[in-house]
Amino acid sequence: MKILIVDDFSTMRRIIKNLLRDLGFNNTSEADDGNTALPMLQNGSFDFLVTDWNMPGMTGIDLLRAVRADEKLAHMPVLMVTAEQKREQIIEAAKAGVNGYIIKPFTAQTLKEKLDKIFERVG
Amino acid sequence: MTSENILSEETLLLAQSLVENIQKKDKINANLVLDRLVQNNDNLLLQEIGKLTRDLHTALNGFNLDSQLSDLAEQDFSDARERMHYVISLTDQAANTTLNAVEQAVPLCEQLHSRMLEIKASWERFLKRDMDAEEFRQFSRQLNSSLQEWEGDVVAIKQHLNEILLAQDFQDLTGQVLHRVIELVENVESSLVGMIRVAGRRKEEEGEAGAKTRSEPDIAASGPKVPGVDNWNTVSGQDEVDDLLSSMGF
Repeated sequence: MKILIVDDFSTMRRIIKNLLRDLGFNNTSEADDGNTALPMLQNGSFDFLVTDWNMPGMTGIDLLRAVRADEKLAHMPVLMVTAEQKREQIIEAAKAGVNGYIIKPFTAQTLKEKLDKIFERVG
Repeated sequence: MTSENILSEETLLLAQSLVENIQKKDKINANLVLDRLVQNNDNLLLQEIGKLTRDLHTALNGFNLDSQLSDLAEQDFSDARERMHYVISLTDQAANTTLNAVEQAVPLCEQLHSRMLEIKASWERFLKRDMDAEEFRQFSRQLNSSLQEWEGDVVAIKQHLNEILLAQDFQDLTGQVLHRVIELVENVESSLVGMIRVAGRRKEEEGEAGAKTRSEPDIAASGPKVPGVDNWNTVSGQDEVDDLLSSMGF
C-alpha cells in the first residue's frame, strides 16, 4: 500500500510516517501542501492519502475537494489529521468526502483505529 | 484685509521683531509687537496658526480613536500574550513527556544490558565446557526467565520511544500558533505605518483603515484552539469528532 502524507510541518510528517511504519505501512511519500501533493497523487499510483488541513498554498480541504473532483482519484480514501476542530469544519470535511478525521494531538491508537475503520469500509 | 497686506514690508519687520523678542525672551516687547500685528487687523497669520492647531487636534484625535489601533492594543496584544503562554505550556509539556519517557526507558536498557552480560558470561563458560550439569540447568532456567523479562522490557522501551515520537507534535501545534502571532505583528506594523501616514497627511486617509473584522469565517483554517483566547464552537476531543461524524452517517 502506497501512502502520501501531506503536512507543512516536517516533524508531523515524520511522526505520521513512523506511526504508519509501526503499523506495517512502509511505503510512504511526503508533500508539504496541496499544490505539491496533487501532481504527486495524479502521477504516483497512491492508494491512500493522509492530509493536514491548515497549510500554506493549497489547504487540506481544497486538496480533498480536488481529489474528489479528479476522476482517477475520486475514490481514494482520505484521512484528515489536523488541529482544526470547529464543528463547521468537521461537517465541511465530511461533506467534501473525507473518510476519517483525527484531531491533533492524537495517539497511535487513534490512528490505528481510524485506519482499520477506513480499510474495513473500503474493503 | 487683502493678501497683499500680509506681504507688506511692515508686516515682515513686525514678524522679524516678534521672532527676535521671543528669542530674547522679551515678553513685554513680544506682546507689544504681537498687539500691533493684531491691531493692524492683519490676522491672517493667526488664522493660519488656528488652522494648523485644528489640523493637529484632528490628527491627534484620529490617532487616539483609530479603532484598529485600539483593537490591537486592547485585544490583539492580550491574545498574542495568551498564545505565547500557550506555546510555553505546550513546549513544557512536550519536554516533560520526553524526559519522563527517557527516564523510564534508560533504567530498562541498563537492566537489559546487565542481565545480558550475566548471560553472556555464563554462555561463554558453557561454550568452554566449563559448566557442570547442575549449573547448566540453573543457567537454562535463568536464560528462560531472562528471555521473558526482555520481551516485556523491549515492548516497554518501544512504548516509551513512541511517547517521545508523539510528543514531537508540539512543533507543529506551536508553529501554527506562532504563525498567528506573526500575522498579528504584521498587522501592528501596517497599523503603525497607517497611523504615521494619517498624522503626516492631516488624516487624509481617515476612515479608510476601518476596523478589521474579528470574526473567524466558519471553515477557514485557524490552527489549534488556544484555551482562554479562542471561543470557537469546537469539539472537545476525538470522541466528539467521532460522534459528530457518526451522526452524519459515518
